[in-house]
Amino acid sequence: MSAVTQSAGSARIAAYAGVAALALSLALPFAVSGFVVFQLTQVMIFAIAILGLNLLTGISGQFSLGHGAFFALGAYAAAIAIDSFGLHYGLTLPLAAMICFLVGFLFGLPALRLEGIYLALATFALALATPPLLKFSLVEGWTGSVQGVFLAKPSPPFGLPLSDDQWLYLLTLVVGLALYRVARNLLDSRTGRALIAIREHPIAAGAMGIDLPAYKTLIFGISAAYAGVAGALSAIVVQFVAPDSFAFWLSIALFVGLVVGGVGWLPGALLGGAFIVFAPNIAEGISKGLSGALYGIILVVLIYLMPAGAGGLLRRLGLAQGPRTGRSS
Amino acid sequence: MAAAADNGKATALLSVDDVAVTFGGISALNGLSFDMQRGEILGLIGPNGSGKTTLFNCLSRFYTPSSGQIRISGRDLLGLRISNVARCGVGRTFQNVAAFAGLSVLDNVRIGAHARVGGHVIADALRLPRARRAEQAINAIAEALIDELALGDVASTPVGALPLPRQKRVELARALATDPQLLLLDEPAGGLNHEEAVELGALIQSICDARGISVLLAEHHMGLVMSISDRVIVLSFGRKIADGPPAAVQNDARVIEAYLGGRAA
Repeated sequence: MSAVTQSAGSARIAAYAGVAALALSLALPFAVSGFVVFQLTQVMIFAIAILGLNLLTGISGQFSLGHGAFFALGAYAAAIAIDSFGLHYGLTLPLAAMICFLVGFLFGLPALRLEGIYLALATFALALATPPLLKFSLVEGWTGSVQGVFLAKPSPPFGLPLSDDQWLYLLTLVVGLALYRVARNLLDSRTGRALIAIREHPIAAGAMGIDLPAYKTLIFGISAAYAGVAGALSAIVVQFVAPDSFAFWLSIALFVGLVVGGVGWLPGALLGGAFIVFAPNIAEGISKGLSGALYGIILVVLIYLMPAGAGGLLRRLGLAQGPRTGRSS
Repeated sequence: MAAAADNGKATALLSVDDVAVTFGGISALNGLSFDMQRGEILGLIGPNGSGKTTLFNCLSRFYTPSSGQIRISGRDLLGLRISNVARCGVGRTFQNVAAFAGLSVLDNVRIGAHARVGGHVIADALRLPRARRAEQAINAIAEALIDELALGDVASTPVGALPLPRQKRVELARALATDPQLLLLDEPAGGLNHEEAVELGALIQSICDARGISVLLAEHHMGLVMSISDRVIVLSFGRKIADGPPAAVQNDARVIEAYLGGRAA
């Protein structure tokens, strides 16, 4: 489809940029220190969650300020599966995806009655409810209440000559690329067009035979599954989950990352992830006392310079795809 | 062009039986009954607020009548969900253009083919051969319609950037992509000049002839309605006040009164 909605020139640029980015991302973990590799892994983890949020918000036009809850659910599912049931960490990713798909899908059912800011508020309630639920005494045996769950760091398999950090980076990279591919496939398919149609004109979409409730709940589930996989990777990489790692700020951070990267522009997720990980550090580097204020200033300047996020900026420069994946009015 | 009318209700494509719609005590449609035969172009006229769009919205299942029955090819239309109406052969355009404005012409028409080509989200996510075949089928449908309606030069243009007459044509192409047996056109000539309206009439007629489908045409442009309709129904304040061949309806005293604002008969 890209041949039609995207000029051949910008398609070529996108292809070159993709290959260059892939080569760079494969080389990076061998060129920087272990801590930076860890940070870059976190960037990719947040990018996966933002990718899922983008499918929901950018493509189907539904808002969520509660994706931190699905992130937390995925993280705890992975941590408990490893800690209490001895599951291999690799298998926790599909497990977290399935659990979060199911919960997201079920949450999507009542969410059908809510639109726009009301849906945003309902999902925000989910984000607020998460930490107390994780501390709840009935599930303490699994979640470890406020102490959380500690995990061992997985070593590279098959005796690969990699450090643990490098291995987790590469694992996250492969998972992220696969999930990006799936998101792209969805976007450029009958399913993706149905979701965009719902965002653009729900009444007309219904008249075209698109089942609105089915697609809206489906994408809620898929979006939650992305956040869940990101959460599971986070648990494995950080080797620790605790309720207060998943306070409501996480949901807000994911939303901010989405907007900074560009609503509706999938590669923007990576920039959004980088913003989540590095912007607070940069702010703190300038002034410890004023870091919160500086973070706000960085955010405002970015929104001023790129009102439609990085994706919108690239679109204006003719370097990214046109209105098809663009933000709804 | 009309199929033999004496086949009666059993074979009618569309059968509307004593349909009433009220909004908070205001009666928008009242005891409306009519049948449509296959291949028929049925004109639907009446002053603003007479219930034309209300009827369309019942046929699309956006509204549920407070009483009455609607059958499409013998099936109970009112038992269908909105998303199954297109699958039962009802396609439509909208009075104020409801195109997917940010999407290209091609994407708009491809979305029209959504219900016609099956698919599954997992096949789409993994781009399985099945999804690729569906994509090819959708593209073939869309490209043929874009050619037929002479939209090839703007296929990759966002619909919102096109002038109104062409947006309406995109909507028509999108409705045809659903492969309708019954095509509902809600004021397709609104905003068109005389030449464009004449051209549209010829287009509607050729579409109808080529596919053997029926068209329910709600329109204010009398020239268009009278020139291409096999039969015309006139609504006034939610009631049917005339039903017959264009020439007879045009000379009906009640119709003239309804339009000229005379005392109700």
